Amino acid sequence: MTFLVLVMLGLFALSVPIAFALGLAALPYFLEKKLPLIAIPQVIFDSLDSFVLLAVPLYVLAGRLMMTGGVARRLVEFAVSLVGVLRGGLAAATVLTSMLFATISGSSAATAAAIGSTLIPEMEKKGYPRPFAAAVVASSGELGVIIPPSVPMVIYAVITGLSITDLFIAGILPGLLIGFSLILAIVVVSSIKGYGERETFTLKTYVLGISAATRRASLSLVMPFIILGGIYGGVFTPTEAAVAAVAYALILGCFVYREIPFRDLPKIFAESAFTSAVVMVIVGFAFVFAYAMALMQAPQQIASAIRGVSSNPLVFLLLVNLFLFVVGMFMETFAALIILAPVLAPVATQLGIDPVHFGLIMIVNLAIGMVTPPVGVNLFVACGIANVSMEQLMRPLLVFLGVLVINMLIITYVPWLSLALIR
Amino acid sequence: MRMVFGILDRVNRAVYYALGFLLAIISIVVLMQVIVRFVLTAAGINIAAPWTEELARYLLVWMIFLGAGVGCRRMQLIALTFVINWLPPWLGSAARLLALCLCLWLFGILLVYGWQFVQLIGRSEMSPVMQISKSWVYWAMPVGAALMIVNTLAFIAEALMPGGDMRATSSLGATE
Repeated sequence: MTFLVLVMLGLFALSVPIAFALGLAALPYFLEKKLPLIAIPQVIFDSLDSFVLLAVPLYVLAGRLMMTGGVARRLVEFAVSLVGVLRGGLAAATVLTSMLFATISGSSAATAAAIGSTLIPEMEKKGYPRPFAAAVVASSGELGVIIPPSVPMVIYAVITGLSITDLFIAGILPGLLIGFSLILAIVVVSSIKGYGERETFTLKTYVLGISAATRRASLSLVMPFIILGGIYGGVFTPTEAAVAAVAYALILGCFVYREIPFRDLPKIFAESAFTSAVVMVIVGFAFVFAYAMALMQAPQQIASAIRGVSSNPLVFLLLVNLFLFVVGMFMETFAALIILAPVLAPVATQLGIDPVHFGLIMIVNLAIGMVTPPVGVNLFVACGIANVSMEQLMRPLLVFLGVLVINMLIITYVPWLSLALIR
Repeated sequence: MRMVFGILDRVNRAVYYALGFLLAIISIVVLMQVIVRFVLTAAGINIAAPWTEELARYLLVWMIFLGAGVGCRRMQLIALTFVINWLPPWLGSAARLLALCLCLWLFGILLVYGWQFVQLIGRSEMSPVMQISKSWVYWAMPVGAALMIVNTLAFIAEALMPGGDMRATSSLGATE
């Protein structure tokens, strides 16, 4: 088993794509045990032929359509009208928009990209330093995968066989907690450093501003209710909610706001299909790898090794937190989730940790991985949009990373946050 | 040689847009399922359309394999490249070349056993609802593997030509 893992790490280092590295790492075991190689297509088809997995390209598509179709911009205007008057209001509005956008989009980089491209230039105009603006966008982007719907949660559910609906609902309170604590941190930092121009505040203009922005954004604001209400109320399965989001975003973008020209549609569909295919192919080969691991009884071995260290669930969770934090620094989030979930989840269950709570711990941990250097997709997106270097981003980012880590510990040790809303 | 690349890139472009077409059909089919379940049932019409789910799943399998195939042309599949970019250029290039050769070995296995799977299992298995031969689904693997092989060879050939870089990668843009 150690051999298998070492081979896999070696292949990663050689820059073999994650999907194929997982397949290749399993091959020596197949050859040594003279297992029929025809089991490989069998396992791959069994894992990919899944109705649940259909939600992945549909959420990616819905996110793209909202980004280009004007939904994102209206949500920004709405959030700015709500909290724009605070010290650091525009930065706080960035977090609020991320939270709104996250209720429709399932991806964190898409959230960061949609919001960063409008709000980073705005923040710069209002006197925020660009690295600070980029750090705000990068760290609030992680809400995209924690507040449902969430593509990583779909994939986690496919791998572990949990209910996606439960995972989605488990993400709501932790997402709100992270969002509001980021807003708090922003207001404090902005007050100390004096970021952001303060505008003259009168109740009348404030109320008028909110009502105007709400009117403009009203149709976009219906979307979270369709998706979350539909899933939470048990009306839609997550896949059905995803297609409802696609249809609604398409109608808004093409017919109501008219910001998506019809000739752009083939490109939007092809891009969404391609980016999600590249993620989902990893799922197929991860099942091959997990198949070999299971034949070797690796999860049992790992479980007993961990119990040898400590059978206290709290210690186990702390080790998982530390381990995932380090993994998240270097590894692509989806890949880490797909490889580690089948190994760690059974151990957690044996130690008496609720599987849905554990799933959420893994997602929140790996979402932080999207914001930790050197490999963090949100950082790449935010740096790209703001045109700042990773080094410049580091100083303002540290405060937010601290906030995210504290939140992660709270979410880990207060299961109530994840489980309260599940019936 | 240039002409070969030209034709190959045209094929890849066509497959890339075909992916979008597959996703469009998936969206329409799943949307139909929602409409049948909610709108028509509410209107008192009870028709079930179980084929929608089956068709959408099968198209998804094709989308994944074709997408992975196209991704091999410009190394757009998710990989960790910081090691090969950190190594001295010649060593990094050698590592990437070794990685690609290992990939070709795996693709060969996918091609051969994917094809055998079509012959041995796909021929005799029918889909539960639509009653079509499942070889229609299973062909996705050998076809995708063939595209992966051709595209990887083209990538290697291009990288070995003057001005090429074996370590080249293209990002996916701003999406995971």
